[in-house]
Amino acid sequence: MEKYFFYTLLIIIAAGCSPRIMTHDASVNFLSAVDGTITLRAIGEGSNKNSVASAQQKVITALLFRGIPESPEKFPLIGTSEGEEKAKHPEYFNSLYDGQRYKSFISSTIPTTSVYRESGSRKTAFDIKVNVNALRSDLEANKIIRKFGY
Amino acid sequence: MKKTLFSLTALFVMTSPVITVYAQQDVALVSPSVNTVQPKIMVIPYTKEGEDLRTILEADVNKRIALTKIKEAFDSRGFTTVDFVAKLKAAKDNNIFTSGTQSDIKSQIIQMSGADVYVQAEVDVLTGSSGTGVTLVLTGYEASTGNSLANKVGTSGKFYTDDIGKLASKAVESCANDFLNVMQAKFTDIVNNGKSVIVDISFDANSSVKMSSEPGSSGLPLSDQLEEWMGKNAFKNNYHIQGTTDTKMIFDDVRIPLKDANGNNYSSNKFALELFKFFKTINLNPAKDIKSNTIFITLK
Repeated sequence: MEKYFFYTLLIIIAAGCSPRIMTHDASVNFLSAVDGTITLRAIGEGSNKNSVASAQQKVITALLFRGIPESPEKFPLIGTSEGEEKAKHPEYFNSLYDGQRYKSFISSTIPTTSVYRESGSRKTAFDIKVNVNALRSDLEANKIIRKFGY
Repeated sequence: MKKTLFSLTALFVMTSPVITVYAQQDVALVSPSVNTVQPKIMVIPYTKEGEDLRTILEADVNKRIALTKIKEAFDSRGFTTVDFVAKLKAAKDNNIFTSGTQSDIKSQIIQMSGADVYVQAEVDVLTGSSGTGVTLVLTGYEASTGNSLANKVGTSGKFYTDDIGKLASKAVESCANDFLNVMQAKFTDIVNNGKSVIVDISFDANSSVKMSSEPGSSGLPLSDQLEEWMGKNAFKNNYHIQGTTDTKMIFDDVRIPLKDANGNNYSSNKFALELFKFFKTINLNPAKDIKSNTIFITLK
């Protein structure tokens, strides 16, 4: 009896706990911008394959929700209210991140360092070129942002 | 029994995140679509007092290059600008075709006023011992109210070259995207808080009514009745009075919505009509003229 009560209580407590919010550092810096594309240096974390995906996702997130200082994209493409926007358009963002649609906006990903360890995790720096015009058009076509004008 | 209770609790806990996800999707499905009348934007060169826009543009190919690059930036965002020279030519052609029809000075002004938003470009060439550079000052403003929409300074950097056109292009490229982003932020503000119109109310020379008159049944002076009406009808109660005298009242910034309650586009003309109806209810005889986003009311 006590055993069942203990497990039931454990499950209820575990479910009641608020989810842990993981905040990753942006680690995205501007390199150059030419004719609708932007090249950024980002730090990817994890094994080889994971570090590429991590760096690419950081770049896309920075462009969508943070903006890149010193670049023509100082303003975020969507806005700073990341959670609110993701909650409004879950299908789009699930497809973009989990469905890896973000890859279709990336023109090239070139590693600029070999794997190194920092704060206990494996990291690699990449120079990532993003087709910003295509990304903006995609956001407009899916009504995530307004087209230019009213 | 105990086992069933345990299983049910576990099942409830495991399925609850799925329910949450579907709830979010339902919210996303009812988001409204966007379809609105767009402002007319014209890119023009900077001119000093007394200078003619067309003469300035025709005399300098580098200014034309800068202007074309700016228009290209608008095009890359899927937005079509109004060409200044083409508009001028069209207005002159229309004048020839309609020269036999009845026309007055007001009609001619409306025919010549090209755009809702002007983007003014000032191109400065700086030549020195360290090379040649171009500085571009871009200013975007609403034609009727003069409200600033975006301002940016772009530079080409200095090069040992006499290809000023190329330098002008580089100067535009350095700031055009930023300029458009700021302008879009202002447009979004207009969508959320309404667009600005000016309402200029004056009296006909032969009118016996003044701002201090008390028309209608409220017993209030006309200027106070007007402010009350504006408070009720301006979008989100957002209006600003430039000044009131006994013979004139100017609202230099009245916000009106882009769409009416039925979702149809709402123009300054429709707002003027509402104001016109108000004057009729207090037994006044108004005449209205509208130039873009400026409403002129003359009480007879």
